[in-house]
Amino acid sequence: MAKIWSLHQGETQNRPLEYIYIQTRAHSQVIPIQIHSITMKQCNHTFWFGLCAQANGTDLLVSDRLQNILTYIPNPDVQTPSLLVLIGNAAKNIALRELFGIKRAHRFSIKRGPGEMHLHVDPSSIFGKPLLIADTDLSERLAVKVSTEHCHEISRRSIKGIKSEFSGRRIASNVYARLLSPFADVLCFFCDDLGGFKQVANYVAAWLDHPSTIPATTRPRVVLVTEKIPAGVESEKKALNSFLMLLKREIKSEDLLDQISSVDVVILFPSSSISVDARYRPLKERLMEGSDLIRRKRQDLQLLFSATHFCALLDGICERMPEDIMEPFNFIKHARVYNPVATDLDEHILNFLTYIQSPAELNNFAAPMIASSFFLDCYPPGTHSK
Amino acid sequence: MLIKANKDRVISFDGYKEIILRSGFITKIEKFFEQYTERFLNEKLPSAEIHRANLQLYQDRWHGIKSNNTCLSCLRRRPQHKLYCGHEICENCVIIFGKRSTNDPWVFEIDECFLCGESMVLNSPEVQLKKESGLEIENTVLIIRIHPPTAGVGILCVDGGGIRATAPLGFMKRIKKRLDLPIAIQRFFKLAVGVSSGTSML
Repeated sequence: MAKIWSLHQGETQNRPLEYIYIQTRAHSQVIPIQIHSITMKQCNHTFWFGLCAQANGTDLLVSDRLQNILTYIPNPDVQTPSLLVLIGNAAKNIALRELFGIKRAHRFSIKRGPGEMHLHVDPSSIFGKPLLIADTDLSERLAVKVSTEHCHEISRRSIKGIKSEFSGRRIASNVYARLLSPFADVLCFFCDDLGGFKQVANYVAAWLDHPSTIPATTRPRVVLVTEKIPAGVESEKKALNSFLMLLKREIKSEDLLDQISSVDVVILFPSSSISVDARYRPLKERLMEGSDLIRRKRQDLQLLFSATHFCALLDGICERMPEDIMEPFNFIKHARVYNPVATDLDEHILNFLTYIQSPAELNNFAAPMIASSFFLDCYPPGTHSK
Repeated sequence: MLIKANKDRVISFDGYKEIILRSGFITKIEKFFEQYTERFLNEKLPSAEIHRANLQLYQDRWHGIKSNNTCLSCLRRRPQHKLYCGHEICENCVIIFGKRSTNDPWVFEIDECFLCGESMVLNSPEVQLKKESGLEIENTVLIIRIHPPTAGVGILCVDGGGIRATAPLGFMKRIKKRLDLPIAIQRFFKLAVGVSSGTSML
């Protein structure tokens, strides 16, 4: 038996915090509760982004789910999150629960529209390498109306350049691939939910085969999950080969063909034969292995983004997307939006070069000086939190 | 990936007539750029420190090079402040390389030229004059005051009219009193202009 006693704005460590003071009747004790913690507990919506069919095109809706999750990460400038994308339906939902302990109650209490992307975080990982898990069902049709709750900020943008004859799944694959492929480590397709290898090959092609300014070697790895085939190393190999044949037909660009090697097939044992843990362990191992592999590759190419960069770049991609879906996102250009290259830079460089007298001076003095000035310009003090 | 952005920019200088191929020169710049980026990432040195070290490396060359169109320290802006040695630098370089004053966050102290390394202490004509006349020296280094970015732009305009120009003085006094801040009233304005006797008021 308690009543809300007062609403009070207090200040702790120079940060304004709002408290609700609750008085219990029995002891007439006053307990302060932070409003922040109350609202966070009530809101368990995991909606991240979705597509919405409109009369004259398609709208992209993006919530602030990622930003919300990132507020829990202690060092967003240093920590580099991993993103796993799980695509499927019923089998995916079970796997999501078994693999990462995403609560059943959570999911069923929320109404999910078709084709929505939802984002979860593995709570045990937020102090190290934050593990983000996104899941979607790639439904055949697009949502007509997306339920917008008031607890989340949702922005809406209409996307141009989508061919109207594409199915909902194809559009969603194209849009989501554009948004997530620079960040996702592993794409996990649940083939039994999606209509077999032939259909999945179509989606995988859509996810991997799109113009991009970053090297193809950093494209996410693909893991296919099925339980329709008898389990075993040999049959996995066979299934992989037949899938690659299908995929080769779908992918057009040449350099991506080398990339196809990063596809993995995992066959789950029939559900009745062994315990649930044992059934999903191989899948989790493959997912984490794939994630580590791609992270190493990205690290070498300086493309492993920190949580802060992840958020900012994803925002950038969302912003650019409505203009033209077919144009690749340029990371360098986006990074320089707030620090543009001087328009009269050529003039200044020329000015400097007029003082250079000999070729030796040009190589040993002008070149390092110009490089150094560009370097300072690209990494102004304070960049990368240094 | 940053090198790609660089390339675009460097291509713009076509008018160069040296024997060295432009492509070779660009490769050289790229190589140096990569070297600096590696140092930045591996040694965790701030970018400003690396650039300062590079500028110091060629200290002797900077003596003969002076420009009033280009800030030679960053090679991308027009210079705004002239140092005693004759080198001109832009405001951004003052903020990056200058020493922030402990009293005022928008006052920067410069003890030596970033380019030629000439000391700003000895060369100051005022300091020398004071030294000669045996006066106490307050500021031993060159001081550059920068308009704070949050301060906005204020323009002060004073009309003339002979003796009537004393009225604006009175107004300004009242404004200062009402503001009640430990900041001189002059510092609120980026530009001050006056007509006739108004000019003398400024």
